[in-house]
Amino acid sequence: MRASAGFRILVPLLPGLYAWLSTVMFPALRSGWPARVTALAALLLLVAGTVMGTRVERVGRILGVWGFLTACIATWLLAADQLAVERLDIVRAASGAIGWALFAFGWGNVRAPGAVPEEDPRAIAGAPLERRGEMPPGAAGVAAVGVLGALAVVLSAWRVRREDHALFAHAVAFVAAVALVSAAAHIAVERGKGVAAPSGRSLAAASLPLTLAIMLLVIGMMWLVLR
Amino acid sequence: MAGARIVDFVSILLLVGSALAFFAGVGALAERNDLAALYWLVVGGLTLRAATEVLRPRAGSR
Repeated sequence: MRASAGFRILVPLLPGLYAWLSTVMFPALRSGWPARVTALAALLLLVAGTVMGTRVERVGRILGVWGFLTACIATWLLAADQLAVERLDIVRAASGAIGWALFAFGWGNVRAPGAVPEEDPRAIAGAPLERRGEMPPGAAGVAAVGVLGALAVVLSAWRVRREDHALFAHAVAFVAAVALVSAAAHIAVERGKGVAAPSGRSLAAASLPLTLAIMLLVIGMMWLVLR
Repeated sequence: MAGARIVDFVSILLLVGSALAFFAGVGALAERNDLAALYWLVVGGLTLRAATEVLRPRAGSR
């Protein structure tokens, strides 16, 4: 089942347009004509790339990804004074970050519904790979908890307005988000391994950080009460 | 089996707790409360570590 040409144009075009509107157009409009020219060039390259991508994919990617990104970066460099942290609009910056993430997904390729990878003429022939196990029930839910928690932490970093602290907050939020997603994936896979009870060794390994966390929480509550 | 289920539940609870602690830590940075931010980030890190450690492969489970 092949997607229509219109759909294949819209999938990379809409997120790119959203990213352009939220992060390129506004600083360009407030800057001089060089930034406006590069911003317009970025838009034209995006449209040309997405349209061309349906015919010659390689050319489409060169125009729509590399050309578009180069023109956007040129716009940001030319409109650098509009991008100072104290002048950033928090909502627009956050929506722009989401827009760029969607832009990356928009240019990605997914397997078409019903397609079998081994039937691809470029696939290396050999014995089919057998899956090594089943995912525990509810694994997707646990992974979703981790992803949602990571998203909440990353988005909350945009509330920090102090320059140095904002940079630190984004770095911390990024590390925390990666750790949350990794831990959620680990928990999603390792759950329900079918043992009656954890061994003393695993509980002992977990008890040290857990004890420290509980101690900190108790100290925090005491500090709140005594303050 | 019930013991394993309890551990699974505790692990997920700790994961949620660590996400909330990280969220509170970054939120405290936004509210210019650096000490509280450090506090919540450390709590989040420790809670997340405990969430994964409690599910480490156990003796005789494989």
